[in-house]
Amino acid sequence: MRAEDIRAIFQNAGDFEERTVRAGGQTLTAFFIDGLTSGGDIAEYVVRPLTELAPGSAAELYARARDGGVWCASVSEADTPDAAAQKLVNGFCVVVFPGVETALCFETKTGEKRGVSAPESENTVKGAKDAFTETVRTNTSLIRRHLRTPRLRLEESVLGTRTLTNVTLCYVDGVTPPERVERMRARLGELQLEALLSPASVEESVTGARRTAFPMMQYTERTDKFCEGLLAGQVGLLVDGLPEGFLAPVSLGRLMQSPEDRAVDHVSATCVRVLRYFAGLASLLLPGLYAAMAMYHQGMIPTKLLEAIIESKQNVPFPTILEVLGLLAAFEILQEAGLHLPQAIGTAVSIIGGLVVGTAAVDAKLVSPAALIVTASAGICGFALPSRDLSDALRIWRFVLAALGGLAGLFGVTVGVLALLLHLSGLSSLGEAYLAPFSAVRAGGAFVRRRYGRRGREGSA
Amino acid sequence: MKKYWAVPAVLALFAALRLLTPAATDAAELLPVTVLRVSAAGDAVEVLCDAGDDACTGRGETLDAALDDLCTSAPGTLFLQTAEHILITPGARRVLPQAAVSRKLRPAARVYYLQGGTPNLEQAGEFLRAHGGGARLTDVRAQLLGAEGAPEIATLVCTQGRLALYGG
Repeated sequence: MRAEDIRAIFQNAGDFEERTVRAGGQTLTAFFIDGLTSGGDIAEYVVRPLTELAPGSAAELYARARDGGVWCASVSEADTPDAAAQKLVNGFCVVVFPGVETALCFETKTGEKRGVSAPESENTVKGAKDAFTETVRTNTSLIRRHLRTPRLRLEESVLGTRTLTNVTLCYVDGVTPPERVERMRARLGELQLEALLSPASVEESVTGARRTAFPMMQYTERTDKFCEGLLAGQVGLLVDGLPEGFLAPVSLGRLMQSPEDRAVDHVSATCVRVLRYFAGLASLLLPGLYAAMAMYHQGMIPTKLLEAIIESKQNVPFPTILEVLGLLAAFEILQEAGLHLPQAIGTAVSIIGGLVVGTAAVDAKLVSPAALIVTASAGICGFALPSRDLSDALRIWRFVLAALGGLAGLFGVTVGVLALLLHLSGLSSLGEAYLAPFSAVRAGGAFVRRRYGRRGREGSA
Repeated sequence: MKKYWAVPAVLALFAALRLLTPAATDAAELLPVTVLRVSAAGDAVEVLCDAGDDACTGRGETLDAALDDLCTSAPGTLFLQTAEHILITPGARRVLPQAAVSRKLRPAARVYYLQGGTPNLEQAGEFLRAHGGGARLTDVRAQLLGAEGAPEIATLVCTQGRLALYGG
């Protein structure tokens, strides 16, 4: 391998550094990427030991450096310039020996990376507080701390022809069904991507870009939840650069489970889980049912409530369906605006904007209080779901059901619900039905969180 | 090929939804009725409700015809399904079986015989909401279908604007 070959790949990139080292009578060239490596480690543990090698031929120096002459914990060999470049972009220092076919790669990664912090979106009162970071090696170490079993398998591969993203396939040998691992391995092997930078690209690439808003992979920023998934037989994926762990297969039952369920006793967890299902149904159906009953089936509404609704809608110029759809759209816009605003003012603007705008709209008789309460309640119920992806999918279907309810009453809502069920029943994630465990005869584990048994697992003896 | 079938399928679905569902009436347009007074004017039936003004009456040969006339002449879309109390004057007691089988009235609506003067219907509604009881239209219908025992229909007596309820 020649130094010129490696220089040609990086073509004077601003962070591409090289250092000529005289060692043992030979002139060696060390390459590294500034920012990915630790200069101090390179100087102390690579350059200095090289200079202290006894004189000899390049091949002899190579052998001595590889076999312990250089005090680096990890050393590997690169047999092509591309392999050497791959090592360089992963924080290695590559040393080229004149006339030697291969180059030595010493791991000198920098310690500058985001530290382990508490989860931002999956908070629990009790339970672990460590969340994944953007560095895959940190993430694997976090998993190892929770799952100290030697049977934890971490298979690394590189995806993305341009990003060369490190991807780690995680599973527990003896727990994860082998066919599931093989299926995921095959999926990863089939991928021909340029980049793997965003969570959506990971999910859509691995699961196939299906026309569905429902998540086909589960992601989590919590290491304990990730490990629970591995122990439940799921296959995990860690992607370098993303502070999430991905789990598959996923089902509706898994998406409705929260880390908090395992932090409290099984009775409380079961009650909250049942409440969560009701909240999900309310989030999905409330606007559509309100539109249907207010426009077509007023006889189903209790008399006093109907009188209150009629009184509240006096002088409102818009029909119920436009009220509901407009308020749902406003709610979505408010959420989107809250995401993009700086945190310092985002909360205040969201609250004030919602309160002021909502109050003003009701006072101006642009919308009725009943419609505002219904859509706000549906929105808040959506936030009770632990999976944000599932909540986003339900938000889309909420619009559909509201429109169908306004067009055709309860018949339309029923058609919409049937269409949704048909859609969900046709989905599968890594071979598992999306409506599991409801698709099986025994669905008790979905609502009821069983007690931890003697084996420390749910429902075990 | 699948894409081409999707468009007519969606259009057919929307057409079916519009054809199979009744006409929409927004809740804001509804005039809810709480009390109905049924009286007889010769062979005709006259109904008066507490929604709208006193001129809102309906007449017809049968109760259903009178209710249709009432809905037509009302200043808005009358909603009879909220009628909780039906007052039958002495001359209109023959109409009671028609009320029991009418699809325009709530089966759970309570029936009262009205005696004395003509009460203010809104006041009567409030009074009956607080003190009302007795037979419902379903009870009358059950008797018509052969159930044992006569339904206990209460009597609302209006004397110089004062209301009293007996029986039931």
